[in-house]
Amino acid sequence: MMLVKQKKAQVMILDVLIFILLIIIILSIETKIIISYKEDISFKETEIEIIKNDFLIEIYLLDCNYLGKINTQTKKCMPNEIEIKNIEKINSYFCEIKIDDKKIFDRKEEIKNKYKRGIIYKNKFSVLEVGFCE
Amino acid sequence: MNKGILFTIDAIIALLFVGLMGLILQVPNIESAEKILINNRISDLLITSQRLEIDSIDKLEENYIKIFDKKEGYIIINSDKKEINKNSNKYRIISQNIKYINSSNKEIYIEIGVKY
Repeated sequence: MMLVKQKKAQVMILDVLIFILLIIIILSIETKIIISYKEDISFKETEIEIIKNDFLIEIYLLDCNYLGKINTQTKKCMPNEIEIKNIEKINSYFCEIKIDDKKIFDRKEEIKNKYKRGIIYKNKFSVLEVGFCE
Repeated sequence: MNKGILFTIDAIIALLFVGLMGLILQVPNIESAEKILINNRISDLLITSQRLEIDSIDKLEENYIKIFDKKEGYIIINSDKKEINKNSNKYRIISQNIKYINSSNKEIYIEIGVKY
């Protein structure tokens, strides 16, 4: 009788030990999955910010109240053609604006990202470079 | 003993289920930022080329390099093709094309491809 009870106790201890071991293994695997998932999410957030900034430039390029050049005959904004106006009203996100390496706007702050766009300025192809602040 | 084994198996299945849920919750793939940025810049080159009526492959190459720096790609104007910065073994490509009639009533076809 005593021997049977002892055996039962041994089996119970073994069972609990195996259970703890398996839980540790599974939890470590799941932790790795969750960490990679979190990294994936944060990576996508950075990507969204990059896309958002690029489209923000596009909005200013197409908006005749800001950089977009207006066609005096049709009264429409010409795509990718710009003229310098209302620079001071440009969104505070912009740190620096350059046209062919010539600065036209500079907030003298640290630049986080730079974006290049192809534009027409003074009837010739130019590169518009926009820097975003931290 | 049997009850103990059942308890262990049950717990493992529950934990595996939680793990699988984590995998299922993965965010669906969105188009990468790089692709969108490249597409926008190719559009810039095509729009400006049409507006400035660029029909010289060298001029377009110059503009391509200003925008894409050292990115590998190609440009086609009508039947002329030029490879730019050809050096890597990148196989994915984004391309766009445009066809327009210039002020001399000549049809111009421009295609720009960028490898990434």
